[in-house]
Amino acid sequence: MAGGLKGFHPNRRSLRLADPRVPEPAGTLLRATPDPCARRTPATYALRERVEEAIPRAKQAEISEPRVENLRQASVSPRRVAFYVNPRGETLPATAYRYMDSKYAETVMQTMEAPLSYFGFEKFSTGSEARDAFQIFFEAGNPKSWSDARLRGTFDTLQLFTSEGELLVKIPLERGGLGPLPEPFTRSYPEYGRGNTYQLVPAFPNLKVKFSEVTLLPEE
Amino acid sequence: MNEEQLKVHLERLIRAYVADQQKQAWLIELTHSTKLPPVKAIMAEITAVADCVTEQDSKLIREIAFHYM
Repeated sequence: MAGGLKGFHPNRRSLRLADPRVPEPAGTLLRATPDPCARRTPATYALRERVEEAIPRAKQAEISEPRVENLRQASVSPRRVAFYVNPRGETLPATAYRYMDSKYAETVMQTMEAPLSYFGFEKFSTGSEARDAFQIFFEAGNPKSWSDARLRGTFDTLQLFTSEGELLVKIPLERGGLGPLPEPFTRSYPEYGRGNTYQLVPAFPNLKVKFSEVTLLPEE
Repeated sequence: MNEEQLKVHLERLIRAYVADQQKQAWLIELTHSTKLPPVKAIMAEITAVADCVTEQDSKLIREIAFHYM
């Protein structure tokens, strides 16, 4: 893999490409590859076209040529966007998943939207896998169960940026929000599952997401 | 379910299922101390100590999870 791709990893909250000590260049912009998602908001161009600007100039010199093309290949496949990068260099994988209770399948499949809370970037194919990763309490027949996590909503993370490119999500605090430390990988409730999946939550309440796909998963 | 409704529901669940008065007071304080309480933390505490949950509250727990967990 070429040098320009090194820093990208879906399990990292942000990629600090921008160097505040380097003034923003007024030079050429990276033209976004035509993409339906990329044309949704004015921020798209801020996100996509400023990728080149976000790389410190000193770093640019270190990266072997053709660097810009490398970066484009890293973030955009021929078919779809792989990552979104805002002007601060904060990066999100373009596709995320929210796992919900199958009780809401009909409603969510009709509206194709739902309130957002804990979500991640791993695509699980069964409810038990999702619960195990997100440490969700569930026992068949137990009325204390939280969710069977059998309803997988797939969504485009472009909607998690404001029109100015600010992120609307954050890493949750450990111990279910008590803190004090952030918990990027689920680990606080081993009694409910093995955890170890990347998680984010909305930074503001009442954030809803539109799903591109909603799937009812098997239990096992 | 908005945040105010969430807080009302959480407080009711805490009062109904957390017998330890000290823990109950702490969880209620936690519920109201911020705009959006640490829902997963509170639900984990309730789950750990509740003996039996009514059918109505079972539905409520799932609704809370759908919105905030």
